[in-house]
Amino acid sequence: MKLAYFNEQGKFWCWAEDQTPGPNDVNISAEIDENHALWRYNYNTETDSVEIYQPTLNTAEAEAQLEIDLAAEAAEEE
Amino acid sequence: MTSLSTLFGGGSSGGADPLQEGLPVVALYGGDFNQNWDVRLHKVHSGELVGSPWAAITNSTASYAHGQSHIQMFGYNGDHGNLSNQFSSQGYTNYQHFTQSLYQNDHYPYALFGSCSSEGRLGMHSFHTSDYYEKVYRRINVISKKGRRPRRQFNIANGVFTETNFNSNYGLKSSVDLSSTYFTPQGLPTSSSQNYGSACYNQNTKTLAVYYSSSNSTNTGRVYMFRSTLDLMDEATCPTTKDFCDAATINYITTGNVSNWGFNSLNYNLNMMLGDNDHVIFNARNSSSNRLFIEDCSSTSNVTTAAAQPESERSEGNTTSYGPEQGLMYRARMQMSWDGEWVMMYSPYYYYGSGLSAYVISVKNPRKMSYVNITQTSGGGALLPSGRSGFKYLNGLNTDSQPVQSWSLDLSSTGHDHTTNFVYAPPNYTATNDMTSVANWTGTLQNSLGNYAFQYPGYWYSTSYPRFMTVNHWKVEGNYQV
Repeated sequence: MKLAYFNEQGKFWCWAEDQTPGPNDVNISAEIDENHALWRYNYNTETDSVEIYQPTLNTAEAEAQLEIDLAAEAAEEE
Repeated sequence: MTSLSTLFGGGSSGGADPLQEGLPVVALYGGDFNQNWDVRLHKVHSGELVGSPWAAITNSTASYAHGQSHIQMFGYNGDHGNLSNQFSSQGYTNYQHFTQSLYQNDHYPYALFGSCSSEGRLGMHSFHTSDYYEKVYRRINVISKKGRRPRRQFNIANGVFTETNFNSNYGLKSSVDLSSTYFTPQGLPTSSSQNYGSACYNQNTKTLAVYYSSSNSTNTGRVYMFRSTLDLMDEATCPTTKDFCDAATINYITTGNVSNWGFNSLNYNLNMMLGDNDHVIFNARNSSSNRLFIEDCSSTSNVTTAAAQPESERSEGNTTSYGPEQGLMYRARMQMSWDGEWVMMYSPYYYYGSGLSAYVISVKNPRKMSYVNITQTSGGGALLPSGRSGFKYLNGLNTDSQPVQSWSLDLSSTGHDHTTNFVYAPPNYTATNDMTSVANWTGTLQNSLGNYAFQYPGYWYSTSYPRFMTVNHWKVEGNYQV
């Protein structure tokens, strides 16, 4: 586990060991598993917790699932 | 005696450069894409609408095939526009989607698959053959003078340095064999099928830096510095590539650890940048890894053993992505600020073209550097110069119920001294007016997207994945850069 900072959208910004947020930067941090793909993390500011996209899947499976989700989302909007 | 160039506003007196463009403009096309779609030109910095070439046209399936809008390939579902579908990981052959990719636009006035005139005329390059990418991916990076973009296209492949017309595999204008005429590169493969060598031309210093690896799968090589008296961009005084090289003094600098997994796996292609102080940046994107190296190439005599790098290698992880080893259309790219003082060396964060993984580097002193990543996994986008001294990343996500999102960076407050921090304003600037600073070379810029920081009008009412297209001329009107 490694301490990471997140941005306003809850997306990964940087590792805490590399960077300290400035006075005007968003300061949201949490410990995350560095072995997961960073795009799968999302910091939920309502629950103050880190969520991981499809936590039971490995990276390749998660990427495949993302493509399915995106296609379904686009089809739904049509 | 006053020189003619001074009388007419040129020369060293600092008069206006007649070839200088206005501030950056981007073409957006979007709409609901069943029947209605539109093209608009916006100033990148302010979002101001500066052109709506199709304003007088009633867009419908029945009527869009006439006059300026006779471009069905953009506006109809399933054709080359394909504007209602999400982009996530489509390859380059799927150019219906690839026009959304981060790879589509760079510093050149003509983008990979298509470009737009200053009047709003969209065009794609050679749909019927493969040459639209076969040539583009060998073109060299160019550090342009203030307010300019490259108006000639030079290419490097093995030992041959060529000029061609823009975005075509054909149209050869001139060529010179560097390896037999000027030097003997170590380990240069004899097979012309291999695309070997990388290069960058700096117009400020009239210098061309060409890099060759010593051999396959090695991390050492040489940078050949061509310091010419001619400007490679000036067709009047430098009509051929041979003219440029004949007017140059040439020496090499041996480099070490430029690519520590072996150059071969990168298809011999690094993203290079030559600073005004003859420091050379090497940017290598390989799958999830985005690496940056710097070498001092200011020596004017041969350097036969690898010099220590003035800054240590920087490496950033992203997601598994295509890189040049899957095809040179996936090589990392360079974008440049309008004032010519900064570049961004960039590649996508995710797969073929979503998100951003980029180094922001000073042209005057490449030891001044910071990094930013935007961890988007869908939607594509574009990295563009913004205003005089900044950049914007425009996100290509669906604009149904939200405006175009952006990340912005203004660099007018940070200096070029690498011993000082990198100073910038956070992208989502609100009430606090203090600047933020991060450590030079090791710092990472805040990467939040502005929900309303860059609100283009329209594109609100239905599924719409906006496209951002390079405008090949940014207009100047009188003394105003519009």
